[in-house]
Amino acid sequence: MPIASAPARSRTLPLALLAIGLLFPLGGMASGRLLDVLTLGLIYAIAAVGLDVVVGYSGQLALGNFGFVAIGAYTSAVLAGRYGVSVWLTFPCAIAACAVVALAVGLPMVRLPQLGMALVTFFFAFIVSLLLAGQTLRRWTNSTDGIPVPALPALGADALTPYRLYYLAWLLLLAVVLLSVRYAGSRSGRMLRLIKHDEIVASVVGVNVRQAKLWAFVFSASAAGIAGVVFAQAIGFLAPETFPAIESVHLVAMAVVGGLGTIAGPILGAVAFTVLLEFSRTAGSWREVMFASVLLAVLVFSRGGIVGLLQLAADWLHGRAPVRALANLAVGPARRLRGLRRRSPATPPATVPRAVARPGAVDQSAGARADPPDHAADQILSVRGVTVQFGGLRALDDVSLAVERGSIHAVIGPNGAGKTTLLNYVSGVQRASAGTVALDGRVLGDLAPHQIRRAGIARTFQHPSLAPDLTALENVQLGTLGQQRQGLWADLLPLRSTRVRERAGRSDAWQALELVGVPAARAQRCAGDLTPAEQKLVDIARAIAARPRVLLMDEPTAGLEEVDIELVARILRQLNRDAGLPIVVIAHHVGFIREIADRATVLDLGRVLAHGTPEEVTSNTEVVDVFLGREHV
Amino acid sequence: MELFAGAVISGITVGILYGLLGFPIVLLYKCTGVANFAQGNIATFLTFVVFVTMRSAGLRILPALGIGLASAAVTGAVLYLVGLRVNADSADHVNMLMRTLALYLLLAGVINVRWSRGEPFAFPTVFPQGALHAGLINISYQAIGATGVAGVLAVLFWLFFKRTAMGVLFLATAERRDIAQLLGVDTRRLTTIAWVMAAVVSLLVGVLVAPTNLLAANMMDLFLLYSFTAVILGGLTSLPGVFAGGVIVGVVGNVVTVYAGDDSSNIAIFGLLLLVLVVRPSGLFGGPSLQRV
Repeated sequence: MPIASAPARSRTLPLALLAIGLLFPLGGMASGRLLDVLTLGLIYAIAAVGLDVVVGYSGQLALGNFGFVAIGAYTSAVLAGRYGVSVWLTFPCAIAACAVVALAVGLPMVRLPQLGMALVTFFFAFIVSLLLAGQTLRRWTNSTDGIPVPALPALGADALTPYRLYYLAWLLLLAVVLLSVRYAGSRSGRMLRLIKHDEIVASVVGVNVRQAKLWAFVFSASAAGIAGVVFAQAIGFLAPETFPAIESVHLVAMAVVGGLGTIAGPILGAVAFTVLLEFSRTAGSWREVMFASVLLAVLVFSRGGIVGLLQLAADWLHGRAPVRALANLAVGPARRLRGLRRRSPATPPATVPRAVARPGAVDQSAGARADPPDHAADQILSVRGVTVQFGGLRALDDVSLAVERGSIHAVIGPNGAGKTTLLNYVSGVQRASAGTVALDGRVLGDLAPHQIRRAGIARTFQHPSLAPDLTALENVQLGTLGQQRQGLWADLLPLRSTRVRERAGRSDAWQALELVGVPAARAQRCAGDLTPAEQKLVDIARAIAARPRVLLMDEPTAGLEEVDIELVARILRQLNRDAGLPIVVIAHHVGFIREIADRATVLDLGRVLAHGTPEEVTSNTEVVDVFLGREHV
Repeated sequence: MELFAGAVISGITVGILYGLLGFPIVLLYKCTGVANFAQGNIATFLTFVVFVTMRSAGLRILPALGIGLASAAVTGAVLYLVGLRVNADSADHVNMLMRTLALYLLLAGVINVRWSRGEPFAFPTVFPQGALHAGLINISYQAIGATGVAGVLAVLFWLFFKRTAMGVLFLATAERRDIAQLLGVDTRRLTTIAWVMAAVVSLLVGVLVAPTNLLAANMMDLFLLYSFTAVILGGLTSLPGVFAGGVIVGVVGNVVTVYAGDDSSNIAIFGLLLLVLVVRPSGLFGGPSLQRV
């Protein structure tokens, strides 16, 4: 799909501004019912853009956001009408109310991947409409009788005219769009994209997956709260039937039809659908059927929605030129807005001083380099007595492993020996019924994958594990999360510390890429466009970018050509010798192991069969039997 | 006390129905990895088909049910083939989930275009009127019959999955779709059959629920949420677990309704869902899921 490519992604802000820009003069031209409907469209767009951050970027389905529009609307109307709070002041109150409810609902739901958010938010939407119509909150909501909304006093005028309301909604939409674009382009946005691609990989890379999802959800709920306050102003009277639960699904549908993950798409989808639905009221229930059919058609045939089709059409007609031209028109003013630049034009450092680019050069290991590697007690990583049970199958049976400081330790064995399971256990992805891991003598206990990453254990993956729609550089930047605190505020606000951190992360990422030999031109490409060998190198760069104390590698040579295996071997040796980085590597390739490993452990059927130097274990007859089959001997 | 006992017993009977609708949700989830949000509206749609057949052709419930079963099979296959199968391999999780919601909207729309004027409708029961009196507790024959049908279906499914070759293929596909495919199982055909089975079960649930809940376009909205809660309680992938989960949801819902009213009952079940996710996201009966890296 076109939205996945890097050029399309850099168009996010220009396209969004273009969409908003087109809506600006409309308010002046329209009047009467059309103006009201367009205002409603803008309000839906505010909620839909916030929703895009969750659904489009993190790949989680939030089906209750119109419930937050309702909460925002009622909070505003009740505070202003019953307690005499200024309507302007109810904006922050509505946002806060939505954020608090979103936290309460969100904390449990992020514990169940994928389905959790969809189910809980869907249920939540029904709970909100039941509560609005029920007796429990009657004191405030007046149940089915509804409540009037105190009008928003305009600055310098008595009441807000429809025009002013339109432009208020327009301004708020602009604000939400700018924040959402910034979110999507920030470190938090990169995390969401990796989560969308693979949650487990994200957690191993150091992302607190649940927290990242929760913030995205709270952000979308807050945007819906803002929409709610304006919505209340637009309709003037709140009653439960205005907030049916299914409206939340419609909201997602608008974002889908407009084009998920583009910011501009949800704006177009929301405005287009609101106008179409308003002016086809005579069609009765056929509208619902049409709406659902269009939605299904987009889902099945055109993932990019309206924006995807526009891009496709533009690319096909004019080889991308017109979209660029339009985008350039919009990008001028945008660049002048401080702090909005999605990517400052970072250039790779011309030369990387070796001393700086030593990812593993942490103080302890630096001291340990002086010691000869044959100190048996001098273990950087020690795994003891791990047992992992899958139903009736013992994937690992009392397996122990001791990795000496500064060594390359190979784990070998036939398929199904439990090698990857062992790595999964150490990196926190797999729970075990028994066993402990100690890093540099400190037992790690029951930590989540991102905590293990932060403790200093990094790993690479056997399968492609990069977010395909991020550049190689951005993927590696995600690796530098390890030592950083994961806050959304820092990413959204134009803080100096954020810029400093971004710059530091980027320069660490460049160094790591340089170290594994990925050229700068390739590093700016989308990871999905790279060759498998390049992807492996970028994966390694991501793992070393945050200077881990141990590097675990799952089959770095799998699926590679002989020359690329040579290359990987050279990089591993370099990382190990130059930077003193201890490496645990799973491999099938016996030549590769003999070439690079200091020690080797052989696993078979979940048990340790042998360990020693690569020469020792590969000449062990039992090991040869296992690898080549008994009849071979 | 008899109020409580009555609430528990009717909770069990309705809970088994939650489990019965949750069952095809789990089955489809295991076969395709997609939770089907349209399951409730499939039931409503098919129940309307039976209802309209009875009304327009003047049939009694049982022959109309026969026509309903046939249209259930067709509906299940068509929904899957048109809505979910095309371009499924390149679709992500959000896309597939949204497709089931599009089907949800589509079915609701079709019902509203044709049939929902004048709702809710009284729907005839296939069971005798009245209730069984056991001590101080009354159980309607409708509830007993519904529980009986659900029980028979559960046993049939158990036999199907444990004793027939196709059932074993289903379990294999549900366990590891990719490997089943490699071993030559036609997983697409199996998934089509699973959708047919899911639609048939949905119809039966709809017909069992309609006499007590009255037939209306939104008849299954909350019911679907209760079934999903049962599915999560049961551990998402556990076929027996979903019935146990359904009974828990039914009992909690009914007991709270009796003592605190309808509003509170919905909030209580929502709270139960959140609680399970906090305490045991893998459900009461599900093992920790195997994740592949």
